[in-house]
Amino acid sequence: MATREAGKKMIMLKSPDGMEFEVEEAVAMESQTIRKMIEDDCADTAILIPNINSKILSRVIEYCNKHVPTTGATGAAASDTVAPAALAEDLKIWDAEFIKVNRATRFDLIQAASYLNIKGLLDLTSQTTIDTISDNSLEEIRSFLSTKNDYLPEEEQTIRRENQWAFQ
Amino acid sequence: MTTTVLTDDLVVEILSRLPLKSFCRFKCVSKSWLAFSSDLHYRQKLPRTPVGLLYQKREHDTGIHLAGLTSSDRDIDSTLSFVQCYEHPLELKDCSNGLLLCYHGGMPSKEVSDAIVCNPATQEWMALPDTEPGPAVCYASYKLCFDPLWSQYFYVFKFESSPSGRYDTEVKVFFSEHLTWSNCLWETSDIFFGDSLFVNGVLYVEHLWRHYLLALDASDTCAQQLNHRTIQLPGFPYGPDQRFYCFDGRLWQSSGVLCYAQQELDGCFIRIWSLEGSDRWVVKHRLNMNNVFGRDIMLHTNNEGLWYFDYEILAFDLERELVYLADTVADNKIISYSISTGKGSQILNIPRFVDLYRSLLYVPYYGKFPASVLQGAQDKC
Repeated sequence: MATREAGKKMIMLKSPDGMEFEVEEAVAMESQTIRKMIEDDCADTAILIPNINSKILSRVIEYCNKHVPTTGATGAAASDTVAPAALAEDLKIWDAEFIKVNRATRFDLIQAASYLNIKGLLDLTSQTTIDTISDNSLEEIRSFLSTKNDYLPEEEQTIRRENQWAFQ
Repeated sequence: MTTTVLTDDLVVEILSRLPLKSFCRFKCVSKSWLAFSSDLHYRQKLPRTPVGLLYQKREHDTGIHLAGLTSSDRDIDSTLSFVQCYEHPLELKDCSNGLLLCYHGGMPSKEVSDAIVCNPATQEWMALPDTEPGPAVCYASYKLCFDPLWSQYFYVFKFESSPSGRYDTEVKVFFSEHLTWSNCLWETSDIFFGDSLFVNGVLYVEHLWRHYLLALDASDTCAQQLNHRTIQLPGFPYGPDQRFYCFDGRLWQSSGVLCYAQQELDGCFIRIWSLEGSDRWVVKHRLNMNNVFGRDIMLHTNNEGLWYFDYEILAFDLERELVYLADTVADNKIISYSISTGKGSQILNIPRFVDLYRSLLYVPYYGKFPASVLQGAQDKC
């Protein structure tokens, strides 16, 4: 994990299964939830992140590390040599690789992104889910999102008739 | 595989990213998903669906009705009974992205204090203040301009012509953030009293009989003068000069782009254009009307020798791929026509609909007025 660099404040994040992750404050502050804790001075020693296991938390930190704005010494050097458009393109490719995970991991990432309030990660995970299922049949969508069809047959007929245009 | 179940919040987070068409299909997945779109908390996030045509008789003393509602949207109070201390029924004047402009009294020369802006979906309303007393007015026309993607505040443009006989028209603007009317921001001797639409901060108004549009920038209402330009409409002019006795086409928007629908000269096809750039119209659809009304001749002459189509385009909605048409010959059927299947189905049957009713396509908006606007309006009452 991150090594301590001079002048950079480090934050300790703890998962409920006992793992500890030392990350730069700037990286941790990609999460608006953690940012709020730090700004309210609730982050003296270590922050316990409930409900997010170490496997998912390490992936989230990996995402934040990649997406933290590149200011500071090394970041400035990078943005001097690489055009912003190229950087954005590079991030997109990285995101596409990052999100190649199974359904359960993706849902865990959605939950983590929502709890930690990381907009970019929530956008990425939600949009990828939409792209996966938007062309599927109703039955496949139900099964993918573990939703039960609770319509009575006649109710389902009515709602389908009213939205017939959307099936064409 | 462990079955992670997402909470409702997260399901809505995902659904909110769907385009309208897919969202309407997803509503069929389960009852609880359908319920999201009527849930107070969630529906602000989800795509907005047009729910039908608002209509009202032109003569007084009849209420406002809503036709073509789907079963999940029936809680909308189109009678506006939540507007207190005003004489009912109110007269529907304009509708813009879910807000309605109405007044009671009905006389066009009435003071604007009789005008209210209301939202039937949230049951909020406010009265507009008086304008500064100006010259005696022979005709005033109000255009409501609201677009939540543009601003949470709305504008009302007032076109006020004085009785000089030359149609000299002054334009004043009410802006709901400041709760005041501007002085005259623009003058014209042209008659822009036609169909209008507010898209991306620009109000487009059709000339009453010439085949062009006026475009006024709402962003300039703080300045002394309104930035304006005119745009030639596509298709054919149907004014009295061409011996046509019918309304010109219809304006609507699709994904923030201005669109225009008009019959071709024989009435057998409707064309829908979208405005690309500042003045280039591109044909998006050409719709065959031959099978819709059960006849293939749609252009007739009346006893004065003027041409008219025997159906009218009331409204259209490219996201839902629907065109609303009124059959003016057979029995005034109101038909919703599907662009994708080319088939029409009747949604209403009211004799002499076009002569008797004004109608506007209604898209509910569930956002609330900013608190400062409501408070300020009450303080001024």
